[in-house]
Amino acid sequence: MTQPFGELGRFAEPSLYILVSLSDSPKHGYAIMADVEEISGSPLGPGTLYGALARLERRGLIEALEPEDRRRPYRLTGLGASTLRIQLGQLEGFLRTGLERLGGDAR
Amino acid sequence: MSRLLNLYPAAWQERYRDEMMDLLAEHPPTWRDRFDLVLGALDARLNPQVHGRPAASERDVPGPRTIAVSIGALIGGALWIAGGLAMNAAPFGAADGYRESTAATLILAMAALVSALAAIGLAGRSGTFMGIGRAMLVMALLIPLPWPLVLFGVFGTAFATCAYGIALVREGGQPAGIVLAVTALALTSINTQDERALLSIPLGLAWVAIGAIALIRRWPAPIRA
Repeated sequence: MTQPFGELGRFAEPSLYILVSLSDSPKHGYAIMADVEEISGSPLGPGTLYGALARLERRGLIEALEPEDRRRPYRLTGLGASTLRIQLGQLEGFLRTGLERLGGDAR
Repeated sequence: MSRLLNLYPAAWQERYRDEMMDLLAEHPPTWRDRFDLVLGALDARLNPQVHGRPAASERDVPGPRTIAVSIGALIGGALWIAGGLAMNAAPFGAADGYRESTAATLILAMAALVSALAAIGLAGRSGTFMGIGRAMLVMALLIPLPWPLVLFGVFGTAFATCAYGIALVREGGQPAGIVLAVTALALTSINTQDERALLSIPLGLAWVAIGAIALIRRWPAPIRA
């Protein structure tokens, strides 16, 4: 995982999942948790979720909206969207290279 | 479940507690989630992320009052320690077996006075803490007076400080108060006949700890009473 995700340590992967989850619409904590589980196939613990949310918010990649009751939705910022685009682009290149090499091996 | 969230730093709780409680109400936590929360709390303490918000940043910079109160507690603690050492080092009187403790008693009276002022400073707007702090102040003023008023002053200071420590724990949510309460009770056994003259030192160390914690934790703001 490259910068700025590299500096997030164990929160790097959950952070990427959260950005992907927020890329279509704002969501509150529980909705993010359920969506990430659907995307990744593995559950995201509440401590990890809020550790990642705090890091993303501090770096300006997401922002909190006005709370609805006790629920506070989060949305992707412009910086968050462009960062996510770069990250996914890098992962796409990584994925393509891996698949090409696997394909080469298969031949 | 709220007990696990109590493991998080105060600034974090102020920012995220409500929504985490809401999430946990919707998604009853498994043992794995509970472990994840403990790890999250540890991470939040080791790598604080909640700095950038105005309310948190204001609290993260200790204000003049917090600094004054902390320094007061530290000086008060140092005086309790110095008073105990001075009392233990004082020469014995000619006949009665007690040390000549006038100078040391004055140091302890100053210690009690400064500690009482720090206690009042820590009190904020809380009536309970303010009331006990004022009682500590009155008792401190009795210590330099002749026998038996000095006795009332020392015992009164000890019991009032003990009450203050208990209030810190029960109403203020500050566990460090228990150390203050216990060491204050030990002060009731102070005696210039032997090494019991040193019994003001534990109380001094407790006040030093309270002063340090007040500075680190930005008291008096976190006292909830």
